Amino acid sequence: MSRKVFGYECRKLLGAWFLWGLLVIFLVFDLFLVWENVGYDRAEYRKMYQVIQRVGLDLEETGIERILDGDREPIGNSEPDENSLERWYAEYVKTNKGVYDTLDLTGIRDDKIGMAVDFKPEGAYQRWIERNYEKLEARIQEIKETGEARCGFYPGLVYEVHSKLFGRVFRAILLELMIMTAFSVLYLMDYERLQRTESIVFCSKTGRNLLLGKCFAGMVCSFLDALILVSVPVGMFLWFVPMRGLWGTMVSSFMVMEKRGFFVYPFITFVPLEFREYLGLVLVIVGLLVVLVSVLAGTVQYFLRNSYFSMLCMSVFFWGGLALPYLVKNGFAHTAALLNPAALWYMCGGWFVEYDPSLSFAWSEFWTVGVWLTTALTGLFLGKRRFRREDIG
Amino acid sequence: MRIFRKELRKIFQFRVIVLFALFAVIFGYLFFAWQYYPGYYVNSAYDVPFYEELVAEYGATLSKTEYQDVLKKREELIDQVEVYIREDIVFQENDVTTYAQFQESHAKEAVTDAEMAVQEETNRFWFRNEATQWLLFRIQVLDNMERDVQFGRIYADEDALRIYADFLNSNSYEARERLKALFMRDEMSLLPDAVYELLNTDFFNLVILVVVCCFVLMLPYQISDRLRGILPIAVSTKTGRRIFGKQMAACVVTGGIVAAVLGGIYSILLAQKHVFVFWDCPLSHNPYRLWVDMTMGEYWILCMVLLVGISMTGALLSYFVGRLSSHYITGLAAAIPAAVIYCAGIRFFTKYMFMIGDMYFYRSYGHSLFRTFGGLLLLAGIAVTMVMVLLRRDKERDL
Repeated sequence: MSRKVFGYECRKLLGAWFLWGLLVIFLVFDLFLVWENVGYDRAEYRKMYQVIQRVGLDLEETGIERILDGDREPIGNSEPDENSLERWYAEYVKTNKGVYDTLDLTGIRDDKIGMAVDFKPEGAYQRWIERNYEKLEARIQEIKETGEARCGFYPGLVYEVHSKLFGRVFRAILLELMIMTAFSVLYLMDYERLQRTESIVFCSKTGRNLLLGKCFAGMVCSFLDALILVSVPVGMFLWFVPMRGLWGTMVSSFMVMEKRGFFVYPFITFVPLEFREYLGLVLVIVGLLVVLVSVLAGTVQYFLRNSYFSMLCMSVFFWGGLALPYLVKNGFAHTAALLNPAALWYMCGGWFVEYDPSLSFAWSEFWTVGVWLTTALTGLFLGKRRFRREDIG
Repeated sequence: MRIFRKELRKIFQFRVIVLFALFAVIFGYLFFAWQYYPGYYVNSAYDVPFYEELVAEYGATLSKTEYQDVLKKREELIDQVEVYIREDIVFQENDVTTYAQFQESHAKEAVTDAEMAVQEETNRFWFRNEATQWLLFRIQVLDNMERDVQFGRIYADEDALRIYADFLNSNSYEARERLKALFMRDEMSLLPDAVYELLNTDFFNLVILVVVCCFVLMLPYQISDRLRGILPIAVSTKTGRRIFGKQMAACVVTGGIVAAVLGGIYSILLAQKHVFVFWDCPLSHNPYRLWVDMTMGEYWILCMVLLVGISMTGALLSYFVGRLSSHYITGLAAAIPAAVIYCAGIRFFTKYMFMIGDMYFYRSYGHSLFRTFGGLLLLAGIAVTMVMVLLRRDKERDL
């Protein structure tokens, strides 16, 4: 497809009022979500940010003890409540700094397995999970030795920055983005049929290749949607929760630790990850999901040739992906069932960290996207081949 | 009538129905509380079967004299538990011989090793010994009934009312009078809280499902008509313009059919779980006292009637969205916010359906009876107005 035609296709999408309308509605919802999660308490977050800056990112023992002993002089024009907040922060650090020393990950694994309904790993599968957790134990040793767990951050048990940003906000954004992407691709790919121009456009080889170009144009425009949908709510989040100077904090720090279900323990990343690196990886997955949904939508549309049924099929596929791990409850099949885009979306917030015993290996997120992208690309190729030979009458 | 039937046939497309059925099964599997019943909102798996036994023995309610009979049953159950307690070695070693001592050891904070051993044994009796937990949870059900009587929530006299009724933070005269009447009833309902919670939770899930179904069925029907260029032909004659009204009627009827089918299937599922054993039990023995006297069966029928109304309104809304959409994706994009706002509105108006207040937290929900009906009528009114404006425009539209 020539650049000129590609431009025209993109212009069709950019001129579609309904996509902009939907984008605005999604944005309003996301901003409301951010406001609800951190907007109300923004003053608290800012006060805590000042305290973190004052105490410093490196939570050395003596500094914390000095604050608790009351030796430290109030800095500048600090108000009394800010000093008491600093003391509270120091107490929080003192209470939780030893969490890695008492962390029993094997016990947590067993509790998670015990609490899951009908989930009873046996034989090779059980050994595989145990081996994964042995690696995680080694990783905990590494965290303890390198001291990466001792970075200052918003106290996770109270402020829940990680789960609010990567869990709630990104989960909403991702779902919206997947919908927008599917709509963009399907709108363009079904355009000629609905405008009754397909017998003109698809009468030549170049015309038939155009359908793939439409899929690509839809994907490119979806990146624009992604840019808006991610930057505005995340920007607002970061405005309410200042992060300047905190990007270097390790995600596995005990300060980031939050209550997750029945468990309270730190986020154990499979590899050392700073907050900025974690955000970067999440954005990469978001980008890859946009590509995956575009290709999936293109594949389904190639075979069904009706945007409405394609969208319905994709919705059923999505909900089916969520339900599948509940149906396949044991063995490697359960892990395989969890490696699907819908489950990946649902587990947003638990990416790149120990989360589910069935997915206790590194980079499962990339495996999910990789496997599905390969499958979808194969489908797209077959669909394109079929379409090239099809008599569209 | 022939046109109307043909319009209906156009709505019910086989492919769409199959896809929606698949979606409904997955949705039900993921979200409906039915599959966990009676696991949700009960202390144990023994609660609801025990209520079922009581209903079979005493009927839907317990009179004051029957209640005394039930108390005797409690004593019998305690005697049976005490046999197990006396036979247990750990309890023998620590001089725990009665049910009262057993309960005391279970509740108090264990400090010494002996106390911890006894507490561990009580835990085993409660949670890991099938023979004893069966008895203990039954006693707990009867204890809860006794507590309701003790706290003046049923069979209350004027003295009990003076002590407890004022706790409810209701400054409405009607609410206080209604509560007074409920507290002073001579009959205790044998409806477990779990049933009411199940019906309430799944009613909203059903609402979501019927609204989604209406949009899924109506959108391709309307949009494909538009894409095939039928509209200009239809509006070229007076008879043709009348078809829009028939289409709207077909949509409304479809809404009714969808609600009836989905509600009917769900009712069969409820019957499968023996929920309708409690059909005649009044909805008064639950933490949310209601403004109206009705049995569980009447409540469910009312829910189904409301579901049909909600579905018909949803169908009108989807007809409106479908008529204004020029492309399938446009229709879907407009349907998402429309369906979400509609469902949120229904949730807002039906969340505290008929409730006076929450008896556990002593909150008053005000006149929820009027809020429910008023709110749903408002939503229906808005949908009807929108469609009427559209149909009026069709009548006078210049091509």
